[in-house]
Amino acid sequence: MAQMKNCDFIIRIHDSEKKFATRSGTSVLSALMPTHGDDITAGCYSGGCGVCKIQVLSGRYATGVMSKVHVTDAEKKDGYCLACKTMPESDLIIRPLRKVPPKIGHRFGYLAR
Amino acid sequence: MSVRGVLRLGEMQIRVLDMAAAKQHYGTRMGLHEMMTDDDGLVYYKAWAEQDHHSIVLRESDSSGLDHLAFKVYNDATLDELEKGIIDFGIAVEKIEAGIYPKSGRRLKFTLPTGHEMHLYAEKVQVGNSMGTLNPGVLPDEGIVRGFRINGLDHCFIVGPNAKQNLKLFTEVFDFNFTERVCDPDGNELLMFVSCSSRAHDIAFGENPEPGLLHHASFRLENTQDHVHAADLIGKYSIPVEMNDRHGVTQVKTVYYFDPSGNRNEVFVDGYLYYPDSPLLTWTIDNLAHAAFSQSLRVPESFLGTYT
Ligand code: FES
Ligand SMILES: [Fe+2]
Repeated sequence: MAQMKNCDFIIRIHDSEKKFATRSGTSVLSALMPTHGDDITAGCYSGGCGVCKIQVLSGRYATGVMSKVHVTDAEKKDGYCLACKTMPESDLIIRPLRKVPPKIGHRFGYLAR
Repeated sequence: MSVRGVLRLGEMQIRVLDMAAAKQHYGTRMGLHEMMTDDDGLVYYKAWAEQDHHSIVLRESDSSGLDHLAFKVYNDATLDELEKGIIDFGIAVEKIEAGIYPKSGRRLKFTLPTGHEMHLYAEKVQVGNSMGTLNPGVLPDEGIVRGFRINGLDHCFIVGPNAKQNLKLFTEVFDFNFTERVCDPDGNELLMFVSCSSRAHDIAFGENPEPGLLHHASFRLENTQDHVHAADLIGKYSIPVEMNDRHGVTQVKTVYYFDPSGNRNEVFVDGYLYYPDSPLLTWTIDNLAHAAFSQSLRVPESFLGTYT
């Protein structure tokens, strides 16, 4: 009987100790979101809003359809992608671009609850 | 009330990244009825209870977002009156011949202060709601009400610069009523809701530096049970959800979810009955939690931060 593995791939955050175990078929955003919400924000989970943009520094991955407003063809060649549409195919090192909108409270001049 | 001017949000043309995925979302999942595909590959949908030929148009593109929104007006003479009003307001109007937009009469086309393309039209081919007009009964045949059981396109929320100029255009030229607002500590409006009907909003505007962006397209449901049913289907098909809650503003019970191209959709039920003598309601931004999501009091950072 095949051994159950805890994970298929490890995602590491560039310049950080943080690493995330994930399974094949799970997007980078879904792998990071539960515990890494300070550095990456989830929006549409559908490649349209651009809020989850990252750069992959090493590793193999596949991407789904992404809005070219947020990732141009040229950027794509340099490893830029939207985490919600990025499926790891090996261990990855990524750099979240922190395209996180300023906290609502800060944007509108009050502290969020 | 008597509605004899701008009637309703009659059409939104939405850009999608992958037409096959979009058709599954808007057609199979949400249950809108696919009406036709035109020569350019645009796909047209209506909700079952709508009388007009279509209300949602999908166009495949390499970016998501809103191509245009269009309101239907009472009759052709209304178009002439409004054309003059829009020009006097300082906005250029392009006249589009009947038939250029499929199944549609002539249109006025112009750009809102927030950068969105808007149309007005008085005619669109009416195909009916399947029940006819002579002894129509109360229920369509099995299979007509399906998916999320959406009755119709209801309103949209758009963001861009000069949102207050949109407010001025809609209230002064289009004769909408200003129903609710969310203000910053200095009393400046950040979010504005206006109505041309007996509902608390037919369109909403948000102030945002980047022009022409879509916050959401919203669809009306019949009742609370259908709202639960829609949310159950959203879960069943793993459609990304932002919130399932109630808005303080407008009092509607809502679910926010995303189409496969990241365009935000809403299905809602409830909301109070609005009349032109209803008072303007004001929410202060420090009370945003109650204004935005009045059950959980939680406002996701994405909600007022991501648009398409
Ligand atoms: S969450 Fe919107 S593009 Fe990834
Ligand atoms: Fe809405």
